[in-house]
Amino acid sequence: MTSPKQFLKVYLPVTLLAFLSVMGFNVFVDPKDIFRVAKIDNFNKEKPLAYVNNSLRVVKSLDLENGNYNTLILGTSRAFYGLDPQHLPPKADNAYNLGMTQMGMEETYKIFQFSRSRMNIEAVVIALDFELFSSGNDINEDFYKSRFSNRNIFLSNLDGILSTQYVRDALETIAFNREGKEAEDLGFYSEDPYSLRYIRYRKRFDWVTKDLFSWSKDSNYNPAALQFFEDLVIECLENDIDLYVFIAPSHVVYWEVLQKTGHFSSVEQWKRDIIQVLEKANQKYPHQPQIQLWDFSGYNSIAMEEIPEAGSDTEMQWYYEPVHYTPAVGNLIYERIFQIDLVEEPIPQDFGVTIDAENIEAHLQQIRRDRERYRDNYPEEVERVERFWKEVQAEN
Amino acid sequence: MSKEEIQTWLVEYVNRETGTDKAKIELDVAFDRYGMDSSAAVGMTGDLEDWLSLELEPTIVYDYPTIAELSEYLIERVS
Amino acid sequence: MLFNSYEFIFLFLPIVLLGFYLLGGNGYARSALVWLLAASLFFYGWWNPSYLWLLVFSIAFNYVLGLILGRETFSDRVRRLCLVVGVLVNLSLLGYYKYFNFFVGSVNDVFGTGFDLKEILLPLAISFFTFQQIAYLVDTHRGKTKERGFLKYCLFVSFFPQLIAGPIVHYNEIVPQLDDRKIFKFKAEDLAVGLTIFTLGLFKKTVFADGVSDFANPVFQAAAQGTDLTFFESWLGAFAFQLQIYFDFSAYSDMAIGSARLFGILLPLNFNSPYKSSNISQFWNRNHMTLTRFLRDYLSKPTFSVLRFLPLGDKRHSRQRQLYLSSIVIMVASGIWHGSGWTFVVWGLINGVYLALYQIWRDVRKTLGKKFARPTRAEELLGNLIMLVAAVISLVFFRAQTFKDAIAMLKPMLGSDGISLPGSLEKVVGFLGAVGIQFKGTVTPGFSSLTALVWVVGLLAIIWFAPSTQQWLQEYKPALDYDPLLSSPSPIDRLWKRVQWKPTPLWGAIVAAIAIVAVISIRPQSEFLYFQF
Repeated sequence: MTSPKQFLKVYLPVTLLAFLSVMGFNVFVDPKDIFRVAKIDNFNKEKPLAYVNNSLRVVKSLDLENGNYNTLILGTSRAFYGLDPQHLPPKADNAYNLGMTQMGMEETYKIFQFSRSRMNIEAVVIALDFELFSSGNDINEDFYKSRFSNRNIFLSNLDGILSTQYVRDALETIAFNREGKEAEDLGFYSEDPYSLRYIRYRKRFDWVTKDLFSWSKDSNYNPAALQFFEDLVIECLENDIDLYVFIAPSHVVYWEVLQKTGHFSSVEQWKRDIIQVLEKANQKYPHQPQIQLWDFSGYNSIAMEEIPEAGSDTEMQWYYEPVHYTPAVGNLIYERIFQIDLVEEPIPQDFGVTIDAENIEAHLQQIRRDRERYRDNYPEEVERVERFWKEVQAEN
Repeated sequence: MSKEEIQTWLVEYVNRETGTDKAKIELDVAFDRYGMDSSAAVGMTGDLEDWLSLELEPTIVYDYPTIAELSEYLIERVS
Repeated sequence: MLFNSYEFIFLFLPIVLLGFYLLGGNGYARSALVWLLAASLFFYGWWNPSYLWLLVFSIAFNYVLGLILGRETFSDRVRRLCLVVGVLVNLSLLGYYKYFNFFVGSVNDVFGTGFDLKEILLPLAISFFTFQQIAYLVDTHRGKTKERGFLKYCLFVSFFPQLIAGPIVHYNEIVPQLDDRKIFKFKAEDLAVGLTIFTLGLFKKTVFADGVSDFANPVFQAAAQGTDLTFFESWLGAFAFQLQIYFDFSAYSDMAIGSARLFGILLPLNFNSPYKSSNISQFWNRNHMTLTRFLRDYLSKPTFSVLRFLPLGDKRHSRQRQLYLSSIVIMVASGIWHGSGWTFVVWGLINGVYLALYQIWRDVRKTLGKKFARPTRAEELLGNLIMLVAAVISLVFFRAQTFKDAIAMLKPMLGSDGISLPGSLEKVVGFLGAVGIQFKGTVTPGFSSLTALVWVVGLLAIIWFAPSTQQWLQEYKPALDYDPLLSSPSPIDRLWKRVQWKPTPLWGAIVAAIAIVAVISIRPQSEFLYFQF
């Protein structure tokens, strides 16, 4: 017996039902923490995968929309992985980390404005790094799918909702909840971001160094981004928002990379430009507390941490790789800026200085001298970085 | 020489060339559908020239791709 | 919009279908066609609306030329001039958008000049709609088409199932169907057949093509990055790519034919189990059939009419030699059509040489007195294997970005580094070490040679032994010119005949299961390879 109608009467309901169930399950369990239908204890309340997928902006925009914070941490992925909002002294009870991968200054400013339109912000900590002001870090696609740009979350985030990967993520989320574990919130990722991939320390360090070369050779300092920084500073001053500004630390290998790709003088110019913006703003608002600029990016003992031998299981204490510092460094930064005691060991004297128009040239001189000393003391590391540079150039 | 003779010749040719059952060879189905590739088609043109004592374009099969069309054309040329 | 995206499957297709039958079924045939045209233009504009004007211009331009070409009142001279101008304009548009940078870059390389390259984004489908309309102009000039109005012409070019990557259809294949009132009346059979074909295509794409690409991509990538590959993994990677492109294109052709069928419209067959052929000539008659057809009808003849003035020996021999040469010319043209780069030219050249070699072999065999002797089964099997390996080698050039990358793949394939098998096999066939075979394992990161081997062998078995979509649905006219009687059945085909697709509840359940697996395997951002051409 053949009848196309009979065929369709089976085919259409079966497929439709299957797709609706898969979608319903994924939306309800919601491993990416996007749909937020219901959060049930021991089932899907904790979302261990929320911060490890590529819709970070969507999740954080929703966090911000639903929460009520008075303090924000702004910056790139380095802030995201390194600055614990719960350890932040001013108003630590209510801080949120808005650091995200591949941030640029324009996007940072937009996110800051979004937050101000939703809640009463009293303090902002901004971790500056060169990438925030580099071309190539334009506004992320993910931004336009998020509440930051007021998109309908449901429709713009259905990618892969019927996929086996999504189902696997949902099951992993349920298992995590069943074990009674707790996932991170407050926008901060405290664990080793590479832990899922089991790449041991020297290998990952080298790997990221090469990556930095490829990235750095195609991007340039973009002084136009300074305008967004200036707008942000002015807005803070005008609205009595306490602003803490610092230049983020990096492992010295990163500075070697920027030397090779010819961007180091831009980094120096960038520091001068930042100082200029801050001085101008401070002068404009003489009655507000003056904003200081801390620089942690020098050749201090933290930045020169030894990199383990290949194959070694020794973890690095301060760095995951050349650019991402650990929360331990974040705590040292807090200690220095806020004059508090978070860590038992004494904070290294050479870690972090305040810079301004008066001392900037001497400071830059000092860094150049320190660099020479480093190159003399670590010839093998220097040579290694040079080899990577040649390899990256040869690939193109 | 009649059209039927030419058609019979062509059917037999396709049958020997491709192994297709004579009964399955239809007059209005293109040669290449029976697995006659271009080299075979050009070869067939040569054999047709010998048989009919005619000068033919080597690409004649592209213009007259079925037995019906080709035999129609050939009968006009012969007469 | 991709055929393998949620928005196409769950929104676009159902809405367009519903609108089409609501309008058409209630007697608004013309409105139904307008609706279909609007949907097709929307489909095209989804990627890059700014190139919509190019498509619209191309359609309008060719339609007007077609009006002149089709009118007997114009003199032969005028019509011939129009044809030449039309073909030239179409080719220059294609040339500018697809080949400008290739040309300028090559000139710079050869003469050391420094002309600037422009940032030209390739308008989607331009290679396809250009060829389709050139064919229309030539056919019209030959008096083979009958003008049926602008609306139907627009649909002939832009009908979304075949717009982006073929089949390259003829005017006479599509327009008469649009004239037929029957298509506007909903038929459950068309829906059942169309959904089945589409489902099978989607499955081929998301499960087979995307799955096996996991073994092709890392190997080609590693080769490009200067990794010294081993013999075994380079062959696996090359085979994986051959299988990827096979299933990708087979999938696309099925999905095009299937989605057209939902509207009651039949498209020509484009892909007919090419690797079941026993020689390369047959292969090209069964692989990308509508392109082969186009090249044969519109390029072979002009090429041949030029080549025949080239004396290459006595008349008989000269003719065959001209044929060899024209095969090479045509395959090089096919290579250039596929992509603007020297690697594509080389891919075409290699395939042209393959074809010529086959024709030489065939002619030699003939002179040896085996004029009409059919190849034996053993000869056919051998031919099939030779053709498969030859195709895999040529496809390395198709896939590699540069010659350097291609050489980096081919060297280990040809045993530059000795012949080595995965270390895990040492226990099983360790005695092969005596004849110089090594067990070095693989060096490509994240590449498991055993899994890759299972995939490659499994998919090859499917290519050889499984029936094609059309064979499976042969009782329900799965494509315009599919005639099951003409394909000589092998023993295994006879076996498959017993499990012919039929519109029954049982098949409804089976095809539904295939659809579910296909859809949950959809990967975000997996384009069809043929979209680049």
